[in-house]
Amino acid sequence: MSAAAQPSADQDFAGAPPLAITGLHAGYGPRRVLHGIDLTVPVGSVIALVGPNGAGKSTLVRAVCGRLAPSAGAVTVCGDPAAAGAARARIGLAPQEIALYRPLTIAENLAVFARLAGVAWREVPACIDRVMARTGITARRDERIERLSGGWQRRANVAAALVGSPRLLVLDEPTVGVDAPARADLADLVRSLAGDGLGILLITHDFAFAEAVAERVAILAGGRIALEGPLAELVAQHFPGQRRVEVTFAAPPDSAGRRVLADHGLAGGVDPAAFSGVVADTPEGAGGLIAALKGSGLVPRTIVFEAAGLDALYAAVTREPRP
Amino acid sequence: MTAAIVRAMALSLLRDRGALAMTFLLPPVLFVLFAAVFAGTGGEVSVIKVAAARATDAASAEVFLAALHGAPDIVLERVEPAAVEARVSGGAADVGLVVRGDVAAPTDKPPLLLVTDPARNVAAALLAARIQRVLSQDLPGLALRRVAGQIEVLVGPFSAEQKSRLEQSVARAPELVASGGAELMERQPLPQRRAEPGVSYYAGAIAMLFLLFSAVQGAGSLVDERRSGVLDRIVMARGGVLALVAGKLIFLILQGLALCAVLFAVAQAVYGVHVLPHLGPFIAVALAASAAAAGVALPLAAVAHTRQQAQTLSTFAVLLLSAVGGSMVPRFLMPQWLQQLGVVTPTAWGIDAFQGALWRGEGMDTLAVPLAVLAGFALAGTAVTLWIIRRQVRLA
Repeated sequence: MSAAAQPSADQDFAGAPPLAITGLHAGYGPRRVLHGIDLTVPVGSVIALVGPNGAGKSTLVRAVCGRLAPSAGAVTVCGDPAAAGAARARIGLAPQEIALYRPLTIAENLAVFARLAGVAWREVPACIDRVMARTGITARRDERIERLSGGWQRRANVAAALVGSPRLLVLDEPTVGVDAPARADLADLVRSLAGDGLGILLITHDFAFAEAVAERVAILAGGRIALEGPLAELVAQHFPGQRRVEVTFAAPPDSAGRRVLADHGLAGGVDPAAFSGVVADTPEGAGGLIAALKGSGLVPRTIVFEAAGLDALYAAVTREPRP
Repeated sequence: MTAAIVRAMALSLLRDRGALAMTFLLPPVLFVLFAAVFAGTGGEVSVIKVAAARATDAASAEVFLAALHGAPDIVLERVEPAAVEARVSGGAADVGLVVRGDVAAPTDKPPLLLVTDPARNVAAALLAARIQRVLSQDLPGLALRRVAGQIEVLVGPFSAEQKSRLEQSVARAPELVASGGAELMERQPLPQRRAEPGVSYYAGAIAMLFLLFSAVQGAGSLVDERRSGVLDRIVMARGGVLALVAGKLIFLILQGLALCAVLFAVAQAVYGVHVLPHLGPFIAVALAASAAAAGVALPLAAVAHTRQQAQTLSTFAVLLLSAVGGSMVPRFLMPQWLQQLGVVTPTAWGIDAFQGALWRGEGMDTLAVPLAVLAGFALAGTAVTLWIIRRQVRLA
């Protein structure tokens, strides 16, 4: 367990999880946004929270960070109400934006946020050395944020959330603007931080990243947790004996073609030439779809059959195509 | 924790060359320019262009115009009487002058007609002063004849003997003037301020103007912090919003002190403004004025949603406060109601405090009131900023 990522061992939170949300109702004035949320982030686990825009993710994060008082229910961080100073001190927040001083170097930024987190002056150098080593950014310690690539900026953004030795790490869209190799590095980092014992709440639209790092997923829709649990269990429960299929075409099919695809449970996404859905995990299921495509004159460019995942769950729950 | 914010702001400023120049280079340059424009350090007097015409056959007219032509601060262009108005309205001359009667004799109507453009009334006032000087110093005989003629109108004609003595006096008039007997006025600067250059006022005025500008520039980082998510991170930290605002206030005060040090060092080196003999009160005033400028800038940055919005809002506020507060034109030259309005600006109090410390040589006891008012601006502005940001954090 890394000292940078964890509070001192003598702190005992009486077994309270890093984050526990029970029966949370919250909103802004008369507008109710969250309706009875229950969610727990245990020690050493990553929970991915996904949901369409307007589902209440930002409101939930605000409530977790103690910036929005619940109208009913409770949010506790290591057993303390989220609004309490002690609870906030145990949260490391990595906002969606690169929330760092751009003209300052990584080391200078970490020193600023370490002091703001209450780290004593004399302990700051050791603290930032530990955090940089933990997040793998030591080599770039003296480079200004504005001169770093997106991937390094994201790492520095996460590092700044760790300087206060939090118990709960809130990662808001950590993969925005990050290329594939840097994304894989970030996934390794998140998994290893969880391995250090941090509870991690990951808010993302990046399903592949969520699948790569999260033990559990929660799908938020209309201010309610529509689904929550280990991804494999949820998939097995919702798509028993089914496989996910994705079909792409050289050009968007006409209305007759789209009707055929819809009849076989395939819906379009952002790309008008790409359709996805689930079919029975049998030779007849796949064969039936291929025969229907052939019969209607649709010539796919690619057809991929794979185990159903988070995007299929998301589409099924929210009735929305994958983002 | 507050020091961490100060450090972040200081490093950001040091790495922004544009902001550095705006904060520390532009103020002394503008001070030198303002001093030249308004306090006459670039030349003794203003030169005025006069379109002059003679519309009388009186001999004194030509003598008078010739004397006026020789005045060092007047560019005299001789034109026909009918052309005077056109020269003034066309902008070729600042003011017109028509000699339409005998300058050396009593007349029914004034012998000199000044044709003025209301947009340049000050030119007419300057010409009137020059004419008085020419009459009293260069043509005293002419002036004496005119006065004597007016006395004859009032008390009756002079006797032959009186006329003879008058002619002798007229003949000796230049000699009398040269010996100093005819001087009407003498300037006497206040003894205790005789050694103080008049540009002291503009050092204070420019200091206040740029304290506001640099504070606005520094406080604008609040907008960046909100938009980049740094504010969200700071709100979560132990120091919270209080550390953020306190850090910004302290940084802006330190920045203001540095700005004042640079500006008044130039004022002392170039114009001999006496700063070092009044160092204690000067530092106190610079501190309070910097804090007041921060008190204005922080709430403006807190209410702005974008840098552009902050820039527009702040420029408007700074120009307004500077104009009304006396950074551009001394307040005693303003209408009464504007002078009264100036009292609600930190600029007016700041300039007054700088003048008190450096010009009037006031001690801390006398400066207590302006210092307290400036501190009040700082406290009020900081409290408003805290309130605005805390509200935004709750509502965002």
